[in-house]
Amino acid sequence: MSRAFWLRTEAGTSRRITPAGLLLGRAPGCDVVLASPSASRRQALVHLDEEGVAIAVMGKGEVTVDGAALSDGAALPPGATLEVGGARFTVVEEAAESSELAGPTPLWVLKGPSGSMFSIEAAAFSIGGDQRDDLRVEGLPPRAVVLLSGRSGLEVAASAPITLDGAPLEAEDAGLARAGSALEIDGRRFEVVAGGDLGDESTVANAATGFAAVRLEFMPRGGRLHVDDVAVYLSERRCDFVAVLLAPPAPLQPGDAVPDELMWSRVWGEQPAGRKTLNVLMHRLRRDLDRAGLDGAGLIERVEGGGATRFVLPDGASATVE
Amino acid sequence: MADPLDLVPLGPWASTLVEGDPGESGPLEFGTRYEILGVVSSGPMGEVRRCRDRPLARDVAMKVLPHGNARIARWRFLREARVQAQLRHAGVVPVHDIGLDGEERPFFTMSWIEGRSFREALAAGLARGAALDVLTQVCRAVAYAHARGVVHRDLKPSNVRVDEDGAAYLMDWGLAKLTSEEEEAEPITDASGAVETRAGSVLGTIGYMSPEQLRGEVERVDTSADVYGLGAMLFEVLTGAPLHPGKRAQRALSILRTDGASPAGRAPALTIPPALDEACVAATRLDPAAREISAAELAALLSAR
Repeated sequence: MSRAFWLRTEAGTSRRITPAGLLLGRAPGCDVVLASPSASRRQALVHLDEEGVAIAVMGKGEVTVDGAALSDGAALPPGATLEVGGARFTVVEEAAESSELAGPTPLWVLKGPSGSMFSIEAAAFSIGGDQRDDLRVEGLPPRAVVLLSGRSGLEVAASAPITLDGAPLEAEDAGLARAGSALEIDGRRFEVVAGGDLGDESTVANAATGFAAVRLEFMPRGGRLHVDDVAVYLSERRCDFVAVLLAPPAPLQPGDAVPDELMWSRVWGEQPAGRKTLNVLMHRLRRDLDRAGLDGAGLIERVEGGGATRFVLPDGASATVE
Repeated sequence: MADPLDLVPLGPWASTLVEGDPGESGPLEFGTRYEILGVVSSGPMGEVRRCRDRPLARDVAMKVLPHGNARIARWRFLREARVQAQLRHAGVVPVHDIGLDGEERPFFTMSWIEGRSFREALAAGLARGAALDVLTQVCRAVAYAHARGVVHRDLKPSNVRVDEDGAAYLMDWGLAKLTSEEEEAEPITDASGAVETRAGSVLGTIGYMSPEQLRGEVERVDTSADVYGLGAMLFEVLTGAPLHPGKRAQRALSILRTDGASPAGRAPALTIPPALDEACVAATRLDPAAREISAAELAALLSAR
């Protein structure tokens, strides 16, 4: 059972904290509307980050976490009390019994020892020596390994001894394979290939990153990126970075490769930020997208040879920055 | 003693209903009729609020589909309301109203059930007898739905609400599959042309979903998939532990490797009635054709215990 985070009001009602974040403020369009006239229209955003739950302060007016006033952003550990616009909330962490929906499940490809490839989409994929296994390998017990496409990787569980990236995967544990991971099952090596890495314009690539519209909505701090129905909150620089990719200065078009020099001047000012700084930002941005169920590496692409970055837009997809 | 009726004050809509005067803003519009008391839960497929239905002076649960959902999600949402509205059974919460809220989002309202989820009740240590009573009621509601040609497809403890008197209600009909010819004849497509339940889709909850759902074998999913979910819940009630524990992939592996789960075999120290143990084994067979027990038979067996 996965973990879920909730923002609970004093009255006991709770709202789930998603990667898109919960916007708290006086404006009717906020996710949590604050009744107090002292609250800003958009006061604060509570969102998920690498560590768990965090808050970004967006408007004027006091925001406190466990009694300490905030002016910028902070982590919100489970149990923390947040006071904003006269309302008090508690962050609650609990097990989620979530339903699987026909949503944007990433598509993964498994490359077998002989070079043949197998796609893994929403359904469970089993490897074993039985006729009911999706991939039959002589000599293995039935259902030796089960692979499940997840939002942040390919989830692996095994009933036979296997290794994942060189480390043994215990029978009572589960592992997470990412693009480039290697699974070794009874001496046979399988490689996990991300959908977008196949080299030809196959349907796999489209399924991994296919969407009709992408929209970046600026907020007082950072903004929300909407890819069709999926939304994710991006903090300031990550948001600026995506804005440059989606609305680059002419003659560049949305989706074109944006040279690093241009990115540095737009996101960091005139000072060249350096390749490492840019790579760190891009890594974090991709992680944000992965957490929301998007394919970070498939959407934010470094041009071969480096020196430029692009937002991969499928044919006909619209891109807007608000 | 039951609460006295709440008939006063009547509020501004009284002039509409009594005098026939709609006023300037249309007093029975969404914002006038419903007062939002709080958000109970939220997720990508909908938000559930507790609301006050002012003219009728009662609380209702309102399910709202968030903005930005594709046509396919809106269609699924409407279907959920219709399925639930047409299932008139003590174990299904009645639907009262449907429409668009003040921000043009689709919503429907249903009776507010004061209580907690079966998941919460089990976590709080609900006694086995009381838990079997709840499960008996769930089996009856599922049997009724099956008789009306509806497969729930997402049976699990968190989709059952138990009120203060121990009455159980089966919630969340959003993944329900209709076995009627009408639906078969008219597949719903989204803007990209993708069919709603395309082959390979996985709908349900890993831990309670049937092996055929987990494998994405959409065409094989019928009433026996719900029987599997009931069997998984029966196993949990009898042993006090989930049938398929662990992380998501471990649960998936366990589903595909378990052919007929015996509670007595897993928990030999407990006293498990043999008839219920056999029913659990029959309900959790890997092959749907081998699940030789129906929801109605499970209900009869549980109520005769």
